[in-house]
Amino acid sequence: MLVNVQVGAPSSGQGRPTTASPPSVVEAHQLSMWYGRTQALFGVTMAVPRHRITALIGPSGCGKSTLLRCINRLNDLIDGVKVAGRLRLADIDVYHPATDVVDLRRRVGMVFQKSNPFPKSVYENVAYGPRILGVTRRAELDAIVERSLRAAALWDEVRDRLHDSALGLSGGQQQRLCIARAIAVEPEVLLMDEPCSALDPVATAKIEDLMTGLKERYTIVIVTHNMQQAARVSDFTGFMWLGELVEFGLTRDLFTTPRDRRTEDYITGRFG
Amino acid sequence: MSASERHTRVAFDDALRSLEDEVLRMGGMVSGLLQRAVAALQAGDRAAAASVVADDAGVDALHLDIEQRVVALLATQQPMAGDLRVVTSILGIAIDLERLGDHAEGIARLAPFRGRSSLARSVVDLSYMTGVVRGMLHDALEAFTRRDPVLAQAVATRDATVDALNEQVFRVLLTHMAEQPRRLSEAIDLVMAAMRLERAGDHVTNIAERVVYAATGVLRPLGGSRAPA
Repeated sequence: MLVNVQVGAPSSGQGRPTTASPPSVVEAHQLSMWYGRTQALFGVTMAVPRHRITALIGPSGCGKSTLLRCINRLNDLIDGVKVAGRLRLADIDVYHPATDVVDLRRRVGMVFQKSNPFPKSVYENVAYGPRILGVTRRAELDAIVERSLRAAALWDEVRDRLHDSALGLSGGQQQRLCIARAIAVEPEVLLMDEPCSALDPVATAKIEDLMTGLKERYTIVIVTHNMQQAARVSDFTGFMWLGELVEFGLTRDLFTTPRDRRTEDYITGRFG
Repeated sequence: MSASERHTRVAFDDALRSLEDEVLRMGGMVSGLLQRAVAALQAGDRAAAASVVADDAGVDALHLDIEQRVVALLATQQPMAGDLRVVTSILGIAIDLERLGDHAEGIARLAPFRGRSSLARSVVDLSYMTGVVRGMLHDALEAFTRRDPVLAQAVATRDATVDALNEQVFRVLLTHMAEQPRRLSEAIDLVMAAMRLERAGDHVTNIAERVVYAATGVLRPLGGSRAPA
């Protein structure tokens, strides 16, 4: 993979939160990305506020998942990916050659569209990350598992079957288990790529409630096709179009008074 | 984006257009009621006044119908951005139009008790004041149709004229009340009618505010005195 990191002063880009925003934890400055010869991101500048939920919306292929996967460098796994610009997670330069990607991914958890529990017990799914990080004492692991499952609003439903297979849980429970697994290693940022698209409305509501609670401890970035979900759960929203971050701002502003005509057309369903 | 990439939400756009048509129809009904109510008061025409009272029920029914359709549209279409502002503005405008209808009804209800009012014909000109309010209403609804915040702002400015006319009517009638105490009731009714027209002007100003919001997203008071919600 070819990484071209341009270091420069932050520009007053399209994705700057308002002056009233809390400090940012993720900052992209003129971030561009290519899959081979195809450019997927075009100079994205965005600041993700700490302990807030930021939603990325836009039509399929607009680059929102690509942008999300830049934050934990999941795109590194794809051949021919090239990145330009700057992306920071708190104190680290995400694409600096010296950046420890394993440590980065500990600090940036991720939940995917389809729940993907390991074919292990509920307990082992949650304990997996801490074990990798060197936690071996049973009592400490027990505490982490319970704390994580409670934080994911799953503890009461699985406390009596911690050692049963995670694959026996319902879809919504599996997704919350994946959230518990992600937060077991205490990440700073939680990325969620369409986490509810395979869930029914009840399970979706549980995940949304969970997100609202989790933002007190974590910064959440969610990609969603469901604009009502973005409007319901997020504090900030970015609208992407053809690889460009067209507009970024407070969710209530973007959904009532968007500044850009393309945003207006998209969220009112007038193009596709 | 090219025209071929665009599409419209046909069902939503049709429903919104139909709602806008209903608001305009309601505005026309209300404007007519104001004119007829003041004419009935001036002429002491009990039958005309009764027909205004009866027709206001139609305005009330239309308001409830619009409100139900707005709720259904919000629930089923989940409009956003400019669409959301227009839909919520329609709800606000319908409420103000309903109040305007109530003021027309209130003026009409004054007529049967007075008989033919010589004061209303010779001393104060409520017809002119009514004309100003109806002109404001016409232009506010025109601004809504055109999503024209400049015209809406201009409408709100004209409310000062209505306020001034109300004060003028009050001062003139106060003089008459002092000079001709036996016509006190008649004068008080006219003061009340003028006050209702003044409140009608405030409701039209509220409508102008909704137009500015629908067009720009900015919701702020445009006039001085405001009609209660």
